[in-house]
Amino acid sequence: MSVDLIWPFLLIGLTAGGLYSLLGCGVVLAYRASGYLHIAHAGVAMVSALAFVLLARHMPVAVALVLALGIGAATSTALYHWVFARLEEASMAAKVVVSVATGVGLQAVGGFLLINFGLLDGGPRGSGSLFPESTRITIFGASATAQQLALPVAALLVFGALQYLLHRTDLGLALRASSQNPLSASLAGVPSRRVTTAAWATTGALAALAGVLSVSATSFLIPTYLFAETVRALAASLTGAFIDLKRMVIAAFVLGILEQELVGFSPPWNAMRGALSFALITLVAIFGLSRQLERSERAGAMT
Amino acid sequence: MTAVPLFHAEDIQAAYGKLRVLDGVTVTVDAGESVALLGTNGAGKSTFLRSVTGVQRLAGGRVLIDGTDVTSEGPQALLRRGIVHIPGGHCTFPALTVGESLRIAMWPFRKDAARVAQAHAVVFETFPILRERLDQQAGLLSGGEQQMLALARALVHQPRMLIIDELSLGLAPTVIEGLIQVVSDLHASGIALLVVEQRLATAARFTDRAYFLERGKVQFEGPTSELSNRGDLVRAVFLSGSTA
Amino acid sequence: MIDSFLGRIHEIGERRVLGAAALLGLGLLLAWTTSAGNYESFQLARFCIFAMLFLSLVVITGQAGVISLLTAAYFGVGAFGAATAITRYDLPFLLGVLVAGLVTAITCVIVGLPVLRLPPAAFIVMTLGFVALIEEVVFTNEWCCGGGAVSVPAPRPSYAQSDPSYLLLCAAVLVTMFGFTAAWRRGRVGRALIASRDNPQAAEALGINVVKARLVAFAISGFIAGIAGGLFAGLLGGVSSLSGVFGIDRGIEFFGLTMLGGVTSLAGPIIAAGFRVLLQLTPIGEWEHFGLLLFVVAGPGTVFVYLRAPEGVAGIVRDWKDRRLGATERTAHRETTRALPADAALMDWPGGAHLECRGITCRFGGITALDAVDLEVEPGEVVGLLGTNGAGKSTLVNVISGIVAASDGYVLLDDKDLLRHLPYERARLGVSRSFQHAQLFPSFTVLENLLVAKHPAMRHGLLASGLGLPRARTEEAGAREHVEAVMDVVDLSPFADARADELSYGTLRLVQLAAMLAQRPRLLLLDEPAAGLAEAEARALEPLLKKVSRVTGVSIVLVEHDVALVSAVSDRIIGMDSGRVLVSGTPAEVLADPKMVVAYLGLDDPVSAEPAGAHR
Repeated sequence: MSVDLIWPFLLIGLTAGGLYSLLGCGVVLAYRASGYLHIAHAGVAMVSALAFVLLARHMPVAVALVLALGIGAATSTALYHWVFARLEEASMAAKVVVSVATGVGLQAVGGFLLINFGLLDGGPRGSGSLFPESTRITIFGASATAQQLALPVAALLVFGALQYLLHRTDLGLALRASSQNPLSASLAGVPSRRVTTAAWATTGALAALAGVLSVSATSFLIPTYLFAETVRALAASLTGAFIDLKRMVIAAFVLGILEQELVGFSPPWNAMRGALSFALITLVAIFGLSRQLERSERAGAMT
Repeated sequence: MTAVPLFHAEDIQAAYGKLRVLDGVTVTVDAGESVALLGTNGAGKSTFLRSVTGVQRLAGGRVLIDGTDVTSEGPQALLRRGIVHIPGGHCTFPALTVGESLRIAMWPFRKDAARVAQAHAVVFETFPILRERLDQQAGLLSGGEQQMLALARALVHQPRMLIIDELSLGLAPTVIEGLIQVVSDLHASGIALLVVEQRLATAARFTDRAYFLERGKVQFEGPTSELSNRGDLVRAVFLSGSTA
Repeated sequence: MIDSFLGRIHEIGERRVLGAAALLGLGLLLAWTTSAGNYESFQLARFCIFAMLFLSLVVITGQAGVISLLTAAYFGVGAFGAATAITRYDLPFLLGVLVAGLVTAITCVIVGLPVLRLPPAAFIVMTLGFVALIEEVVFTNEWCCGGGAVSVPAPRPSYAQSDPSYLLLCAAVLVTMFGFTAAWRRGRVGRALIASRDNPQAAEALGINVVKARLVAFAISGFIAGIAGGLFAGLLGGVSSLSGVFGIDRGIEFFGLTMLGGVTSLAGPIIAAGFRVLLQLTPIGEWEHFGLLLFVVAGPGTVFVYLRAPEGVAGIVRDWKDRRLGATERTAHRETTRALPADAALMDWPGGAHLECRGITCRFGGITALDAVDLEVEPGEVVGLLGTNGAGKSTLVNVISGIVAASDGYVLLDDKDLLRHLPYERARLGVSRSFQHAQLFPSFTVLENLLVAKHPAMRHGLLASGLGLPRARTEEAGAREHVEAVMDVVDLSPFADARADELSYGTLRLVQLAAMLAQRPRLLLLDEPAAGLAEAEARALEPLLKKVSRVTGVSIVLVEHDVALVSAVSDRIIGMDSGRVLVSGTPAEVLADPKMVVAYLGLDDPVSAEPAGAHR
């Protein structure tokens, strides 16, 4: 692969990494709130993106965006209230399965909506993109659309905002206390249930944001929209044990950049890029986790 | 001695799944008194505390505070009436800093700057070391410091009574000595105590009365000093197992 | 990823019903295929294939308790495997399908290996990644999978060219698979799997190699899925990665549908496959977006199962049937199968072992839990360990049974170095330990719980079990006889058919003791047998333990707080405190020893105590 292709692919990689990072923020927040591996995150993103596309036909894009965020938050809250909250004491495996199942259900709902609005096999192009297609920004000789740059920028902004929320506000403190020790937190007077609900609503809004920002003029909405990307976000979150935002963001960007850089290589590396970079992250995460596992195992052996 | 006891747990029964752990235990604490709950492991001490503080469901019996039946009110009942439970062992919020932990404890009045300041003053006066450790994660503190933090979080509420579960578990003797001093001072300032302890000698340092639990029942009740001196009583318990 | 949620569900008996249904079905099929149309035969063959595929989930999730979202991927491996074997290596059809089954079994084992070490969250991400890997790399590969758009042909064998005859082939394989599975599920291997699912620690303590059991489950599950895949390739005449059935979303859908059907019952896959395929023969199936309907059912359906009905539709039907028939049928069954209990005294007990522990030291972090502890037990002796919480009694027992490693010292069992062996190996050497909370298998009856304990004593494996070979049947009968004798020793015979989760706590502890005895142990490690028992039950233990010691001659180490029990039953007592041995001697000597009284009740001043490490 020629050297002058490295930078342009890196730029695209930033977009991918930004998307993974944004999705990862939602995933980590869901885990911190209720211990769930939020695979249904993709489903929420899909439904919100669809809502956005439909609404954007009838009203200004900005308004549609706000409404879509609201729909994402509402969907997520409903999921928490009706499903996730009831299984808070369940094993991790049960939670994972339920999360997966919910995601599948959401995708099916999205699928039906797509059919209903005739979007399944591709709707009119240019529907619902936030940014005008023609705007291109050039950095160091490579150009990208505004939309492609919006994702990493949004991801970093969201990351900063979340860190601030978690560590510098009372709401964040309440959330962290509730997730560490829900009983003691509520004994202390922290409204655990309300705090957790707020966290889930935020997760939904983040999913919607990711969905909306990725909707572009050239992509078609399908039921499994953003599923593959959410899986990568999960892999990135794994490096931080689903708790550490900073590590997730770094892993997400590394993953995105690595994937895109491999595009420039000849096959078979080219074809394996998705799996290869994924495997890399997984190995790193597992290796780091196994040491953590050993330490906790030894501590647990004391009687 | 006041007529109505501050804390009265009557005929408490508790089960853990199928296991019957407590079989009719009655414990009374008067205002300003300091009472110890002793017994070997499995006797039911921790279960008793969890049951009367509303954390675990009661299979039978009732809890009265100042004569009022609060059995059905849940864990908040005690806190509202100035009785704070300090659960033993592990750190409550290991990933929060000391300062954040205190803030959670002050949650109901966290917006009242004056009260917050006053609470902080009390805490730092009683436990000066916590001021130095304010930004450290609670889980990284030493065992003794963690217990101090637990006590501090309770003090924030200006309690009338503290229910302390296994203060000295897993701590070095010198650390225990420091904690005994603190707890004695708290008692001297008028706070009632109900303390679960493994070692009779530790309990004797700062409690007036003691209950001895064995196999879910109270086998002994009396002044703590008497208990340590009456070797024959102790041996009787020891030799006869549960038929005292 | 083991799901404790599944530990609450029960097995249902199916053999006779299934056998009858299978025969009936086959007969009807034979009669019908002579005049059947091609479309119906095609769909019915699809039904058979998917029923088999879902059966693999019953093995891996229902029986082994491992959540698997990879069924579709294994389906693909089987399909491509068979097609490649037939096309590239000219293997006859059935052999190709068999090879596909083996390849898939191996794949399943490899992918499943990490589940033994990883936390569930990491495992799931890994499996999702595996699917991505397989979809992007393997299924698009030219050598085995046609390189994307091209399909690899899988021509049907000459004797099953037409759709109806292919249907017969699939049905025959289906019946064989189900019959075989029904047989081994209730036998030795099947019991071991469920035990490993419900309570891996207790299973290990009984001598079951949990890791091996799970790997066997992976292999079987993969094999079944692979066979189904191979038959699928034959059905379509070829397979390409565009077939649309091998992706992760399909895997999730398969899982959801099988859970909904009932993953613990053999009827579950039938129901799920029936829903998926047979529905397509109805007008609903005509709808072009039928595929989406499957997702709608699978997704929320799974959630519903988790919230309300862990055993799915099959479980709901079974519960309804139980309520209608009531308890009368169950007691009738009990009476007809209850033979006279064998005389325990005539059973061949192996006798007690000689245990020698010297200098056992155990350190965790900065804490010394055991400090150069010596313990010796003569064959047939009962030695009691007495001491407060934190004295180290349970830790010593943990060291002997193998759950905890010693930092120093040695343990000899009749001159065998115990510390070299893993826990389940020590169990097989005759070391049997109880747990502080009765560790049993809630899904099983008392009898089945005890039969699990006979696992290491029996030798027959999966094949013998599944085929119902004489060797399997003889071993099972012998095990049953011995178990009845053991129940007689501890007076459990009336409870033989009661389910473990219906029993009182005291009875459960008796079952645990019986399970230990069923293993013909040479050394019993009893960890607080009276804990949690009511007064009367604790007192009843005294004559019982004495009877056990007398009848079986086993060596016993008894850890207890209950002083009366220990002094009544033990020949000798070791008093411990803070990880060290304080006194040793007859019960009378030890209980009169002032050091023991002081330490036991914690009368010594902690500040003046020696500052040798933290005291716990």
